[in-house]
Amino acid sequence: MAFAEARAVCPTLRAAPADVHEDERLLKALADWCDRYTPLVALDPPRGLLLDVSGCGALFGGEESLVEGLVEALGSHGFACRVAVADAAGPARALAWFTQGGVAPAGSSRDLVARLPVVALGLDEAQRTALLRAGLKTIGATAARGRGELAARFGAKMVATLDRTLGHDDPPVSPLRPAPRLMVERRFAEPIATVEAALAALAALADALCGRLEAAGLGLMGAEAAFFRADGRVTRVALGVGAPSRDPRLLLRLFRERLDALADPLDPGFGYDLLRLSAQTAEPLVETVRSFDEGAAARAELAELVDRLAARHGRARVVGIRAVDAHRPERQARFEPAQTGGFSEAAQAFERDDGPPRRPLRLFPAPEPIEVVAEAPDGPPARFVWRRASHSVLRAEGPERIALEWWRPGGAKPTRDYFRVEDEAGARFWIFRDGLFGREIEHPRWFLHGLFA
Amino acid sequence: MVAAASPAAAGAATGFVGALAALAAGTKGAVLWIRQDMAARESGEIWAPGFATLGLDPARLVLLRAPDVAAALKAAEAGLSSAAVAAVVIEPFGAIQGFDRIAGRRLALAAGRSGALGVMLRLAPQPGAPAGLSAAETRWRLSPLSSAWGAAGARAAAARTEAWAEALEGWGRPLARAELTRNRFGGVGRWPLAWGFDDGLFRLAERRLGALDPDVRRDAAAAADPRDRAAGPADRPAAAPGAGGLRRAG
Repeated sequence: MAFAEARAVCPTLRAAPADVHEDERLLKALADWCDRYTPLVALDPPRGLLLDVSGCGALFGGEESLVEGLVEALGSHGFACRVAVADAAGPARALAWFTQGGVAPAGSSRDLVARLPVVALGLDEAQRTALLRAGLKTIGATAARGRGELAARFGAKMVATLDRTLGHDDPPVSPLRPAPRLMVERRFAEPIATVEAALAALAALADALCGRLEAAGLGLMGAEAAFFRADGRVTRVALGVGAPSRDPRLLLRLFRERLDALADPLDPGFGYDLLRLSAQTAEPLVETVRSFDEGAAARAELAELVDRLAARHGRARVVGIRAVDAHRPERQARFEPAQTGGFSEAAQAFERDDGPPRRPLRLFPAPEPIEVVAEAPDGPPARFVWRRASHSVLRAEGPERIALEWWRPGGAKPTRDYFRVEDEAGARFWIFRDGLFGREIEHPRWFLHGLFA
Repeated sequence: MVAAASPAAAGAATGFVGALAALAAGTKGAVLWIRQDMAARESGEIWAPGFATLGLDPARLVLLRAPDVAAALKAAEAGLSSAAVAAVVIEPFGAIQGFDRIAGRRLALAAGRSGALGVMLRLAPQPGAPAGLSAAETRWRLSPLSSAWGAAGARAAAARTEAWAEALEGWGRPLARAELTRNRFGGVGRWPLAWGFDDGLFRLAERRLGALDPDVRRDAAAAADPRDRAAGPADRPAAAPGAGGLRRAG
């Protein structure tokens, strides 16, 4: 219907430009909210949500009351929605869009869908017209034809759509968030309005979760706490630990650290009506006898500190150092999140040679260009300017020639000649010439790469 | 608190702090190195191969990249309170906002409880020390020291033109001039120090021509490491908490 035509019917009609992105964001927020019914929520753009409620009905007093509650809760937020529950995703989708909705009795959804017009297949205009021209008005009539016949005339894609809509083919729901291994939650009849109370409830949840982890012989590696606010907003706080754990006190301590460091602190608003704590990932954990090895205790202590720091500052900010077999100096030491255990296993990987240090203590991530006066072609620099300060070189050691990996993507990089130089004040630098003079590059540039003690 | 006397002295200051941390860590303890984001750009990232040569095992080094001073101080306090950490190095950048007396005192207390070593490393010194630094028990100023320190100047000048082998001579162990500008337990002074990377001990650098007075040398050794470790093996465990020693915080 054209807008002018619509306004003729209803003069008070107003027009607003469609905001696709805002709609999408809203749909995601709704999906987040629906998370309270089942962990498996998928988007069905542009205006649908798919919830896998298999086995969830019992927790809400049956599927009917689940649907009733859902419609009522969404209605109180000002949304009009239609909900259908069926044996498979396809039929549920068709029933929600083309009937009054409701719960289809188990096993009956195929018959219900068969009565729907072919529009419910969601085909494009041309195919729909073609189906109607062929005299196939309902999905049932279409399905009654042979599959080969349909595929020959309308294409294999149409047959796949038909099978999906009828529920013959039920592809798994791909949820918005991965389903957690284990989760515990608590609903509050009266929303709790303070952060302290929420944390107290979280402590109880942590106890329950750790109990269940123990029964399953698991330790969690990643946990997520979700705070469902009564007005529909959901705050999720996730954290990870370095080694599998099921210590509720540790978990709570990490969550406190994490919440402390949040950029926008937890705001209870009108209160939380649901708290959920889930173990996103878990690994087998066997309780071992406490070791008498002091080193083990210290390692455990360090791991806990690393977990705490990672919870507060972010996993990527707490790093250990791992040796990498590479030619390029800046690649030889890689920083990896300490929680992966990189800091304990990299032992002895860096060689420690005797004699005067050959490697600097500080290395610039990006070598700094310097201006150099040097003897061509292979001489050490006699004088260089770094950060607008001139240094004259009194002693130099080198060149140490480092050929970069030509087999790496990005083409062959010029060979570097490294010099260890000392200026008149005694400060020592690691500088290199990028390329062999005259052979690789006409006028190679010089860089300062590191500082020695 | 260890400061570099000039931007070019960043290496010397890092070496001094790294060596102190290696002494404190011994063979068991871990070192928590906290640096602010901009510090790596300004003075370079600490580099494991160099530290390995210095005697500090990179495998026992945990690096925290702190977004700001507040986060760095918070993490330092957590690190100093942990029993697993033998040394905490804070490497802030720019003017240290928010590092007041209270923050300094908190760090000092945490360090005192656990006996861990806390060092603040200032690589790009700025005039006017924050008030929190007054809680630091000692304050050091590091400047580089030429390998040819004490040798005839003519020889140093000659090194440039002579053959390579001649020029290489003297590029030896790390040398630095350490100046103790504040000490709550005693006098101040300045000493030329050499780090023996093979035995992991500080030594008073000797002039090429003529040695120093023995008294001065003993004092300097004690000042460099008042826990009197200069004479002990490198793998000796850290001193017991509460032992009156050099426990820097800030």
